[in-house]
Amino acid sequence: MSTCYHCQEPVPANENRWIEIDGEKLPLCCAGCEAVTHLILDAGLDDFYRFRSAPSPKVEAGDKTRWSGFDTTAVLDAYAPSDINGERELRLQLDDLRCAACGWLVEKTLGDKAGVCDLRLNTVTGRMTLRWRQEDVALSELLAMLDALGFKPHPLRDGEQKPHHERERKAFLKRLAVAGLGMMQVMMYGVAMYIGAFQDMDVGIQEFLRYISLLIATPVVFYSGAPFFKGAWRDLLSRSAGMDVPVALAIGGAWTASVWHTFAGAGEVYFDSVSMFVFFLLIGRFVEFTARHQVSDTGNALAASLPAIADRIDDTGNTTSVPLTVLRAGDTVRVKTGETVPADGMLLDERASLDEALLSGESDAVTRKLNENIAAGAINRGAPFRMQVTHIGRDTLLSGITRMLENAQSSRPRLARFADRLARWFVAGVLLAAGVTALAWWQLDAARAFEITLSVLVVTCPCALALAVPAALTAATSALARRGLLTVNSDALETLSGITDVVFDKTGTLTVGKPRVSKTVVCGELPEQECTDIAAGLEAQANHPITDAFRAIARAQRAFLNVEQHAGAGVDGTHDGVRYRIGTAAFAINGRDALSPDASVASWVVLAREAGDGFAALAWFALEDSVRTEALNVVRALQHSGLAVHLFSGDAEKSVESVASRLGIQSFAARMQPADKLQRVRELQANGRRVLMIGDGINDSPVLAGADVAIAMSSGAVLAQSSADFVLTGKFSAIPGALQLAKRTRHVMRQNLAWALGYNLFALPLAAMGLVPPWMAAIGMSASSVLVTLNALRMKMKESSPPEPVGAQPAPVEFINLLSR
Amino acid sequence: MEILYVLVPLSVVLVGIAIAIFFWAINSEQFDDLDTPAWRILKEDDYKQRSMDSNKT
Repeated sequence: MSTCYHCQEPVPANENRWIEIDGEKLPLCCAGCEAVTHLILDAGLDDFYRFRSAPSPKVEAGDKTRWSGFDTTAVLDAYAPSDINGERELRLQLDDLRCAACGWLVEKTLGDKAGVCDLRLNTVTGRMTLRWRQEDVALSELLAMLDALGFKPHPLRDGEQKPHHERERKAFLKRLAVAGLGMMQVMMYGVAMYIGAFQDMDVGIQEFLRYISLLIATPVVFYSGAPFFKGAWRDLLSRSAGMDVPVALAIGGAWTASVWHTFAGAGEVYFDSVSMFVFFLLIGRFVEFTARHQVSDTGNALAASLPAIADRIDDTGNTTSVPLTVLRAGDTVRVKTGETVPADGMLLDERASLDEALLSGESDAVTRKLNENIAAGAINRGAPFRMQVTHIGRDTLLSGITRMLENAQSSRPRLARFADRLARWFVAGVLLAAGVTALAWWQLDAARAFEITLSVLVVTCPCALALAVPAALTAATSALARRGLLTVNSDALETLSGITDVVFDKTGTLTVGKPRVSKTVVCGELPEQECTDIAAGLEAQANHPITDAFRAIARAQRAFLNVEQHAGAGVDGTHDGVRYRIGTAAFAINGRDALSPDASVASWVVLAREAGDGFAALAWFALEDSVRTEALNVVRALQHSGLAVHLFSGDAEKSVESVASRLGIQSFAARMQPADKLQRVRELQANGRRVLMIGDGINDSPVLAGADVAIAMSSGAVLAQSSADFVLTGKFSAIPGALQLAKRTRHVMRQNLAWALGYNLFALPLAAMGLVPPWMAAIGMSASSVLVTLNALRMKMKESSPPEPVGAQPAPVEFINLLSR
Repeated sequence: MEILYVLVPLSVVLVGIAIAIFFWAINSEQFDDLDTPAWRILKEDDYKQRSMDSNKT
């Protein structure tokens, strides 16, 4: 079984396509891949195959006219209004960009076309900005090219702006830039002045340097430090002692005193301390901000799964291809076979066979009848049908789920809120201490009172406390993401470290979710291989998960005519004038047969041939789902670390038992309804055990929500993913490592909190006694923040096994590369 | 040491320019994607050569 050179999927037995590269003949799997490979080679871009680090997406030989709807002026103006030069700018989302080489490929093929003025592509997020002249090259041509390369383009409307936090992030970066550069300058002058104090610096120069320091430090304080003043004001208005209050006091007080002393010509000047202070505090805030908004653009990935074009039927019965955004409720739309449903709607035809995997995780075709509701995102597996649109865009079910996911992601983790509350008491204490110190020193040595109070305020700044938790969470989330586990709910990290029991679902979780023919029982006169070939040929048109099962074992597929699919029952077709059927016993042979295999072991389909006035069975095929190869290791690793492993499944007794015994799981249960699974979980919890649930389907959602921690498979239902705390986007084997990481995260968080408190308790008395000048206080405070951050980074550095490569998902944010996205 | 009266304001001006450039970079999203630009420089010459060759044949 050879693999396709382009997409690295197995080449079906009857395909005979080749491409010659460097004198070598390499196989290809389909017309689509063949077209792309030729396109790439003709453009002289065969380096693409040398650079790429992931297999390319499998291409479907597309329809060039699909995109013609985008050439009409009305649509163009909605998406990309033209500017004074006649150029238009369009933002798109591209699917399936697997690696940086893909981005390179796009830029090279599209970028060199006449009429394209500018092309900017972000391989990580898949966002592309295209500038072109419509008169020189049609947008439909460019979109068709992208489609042909295998990267499905989704044009974004003008109104779909970047989310709010992008703007906030930019503001943060700007403030950091000003604070950082200003700090470095002022520190430079500060060093000069300190040295000068020992070496009798000329008074004129000293004055001069002070004024310059003032000039630079002022924007740092008022522009970069603005968030702190605003925060402190808010805190004071609501009568709570927030962390911003001592910070604002310290910064404001230090700056005011320094300005006074500069104009007075005498006294200490603290511009360097103030600038350092602002800079490090900002970094702390930025880390916290990134930790909150880190989880990748899952929302965009879901939006990108909807097609950009729909076929609308108008009143006269004509069908036109229109962009998705033009659809309105009440429109009639035709969905062709293999296409994705563009909006929520009501079925207008008798029957429709749909794959609702995006919503339910089940790829078995679902039959919808007349007037039933159809959800956006479902794929049409049967005959083309018409539907009436009821909800579009943001009102669809899919969109609602996406929003739920986004909301879950941006809420503050509970532990950070706990740290906030702790900090509140702490702050009150610090303010009190500062007040007492001020009074005390006022009596003793008034000249030094201000300086010492400043030191007290600065040195005990609770920013290490503020950083302790977010730094650990960010590092952990990013380390987990590199291993292939996406964090939706950061709170769960702490709970994950206290897990005692792990519950697995069977289908789609422990098993791959792709059925495989495990046994063939011949009961007619044809030999086994011929039966298999006939079955493969019959199923080939169906595009059902079973199709791949047969394709893998067929030698030479037969060609079938008049193929008819009966949803949920089977397929009917004619070969060489003889009718064949494959499917359930009831469908294929009218239920009557001598051989009725044991249904509790696996699901059986029967292949039958027309004989007389009925059908006679030729062979029975047992379809089984294969267990994931890593599953055994994962279960062993979990049991080895002292966790109890359970398997709860809705499937038949025998198949659950066989999987359980193969993996060494003692506690298993079959034929479980979701309510039963939840019941068992609750029982475990009642015994004081903490349960981790790993599942994928929509029927797992209530259990996922009820468990202490939940991990959803990325191949599963969207609804399951939104009830879960983590989504497994990488390999299954990442799970034991993730649990270890969670434990380490908790240690690190505890260490950080302990250090933050300990350091402050130690430093406060020292500062109060006047032993700590302000610049030392600033350094000490900064050092403690840096220590907390470095401690958190430790988690990312110590890795016993190399990180697993992640699938076609946006790459996670590296902690060090906080500037990139 | 009087030269400092010239040099220091000069450095302030330079910092101002640096900040302006930084602001431009942030606004034009230079920091959003640090991976793709690295690939753009690869094999430019070979590619042009090869495409010229294939155009000839």
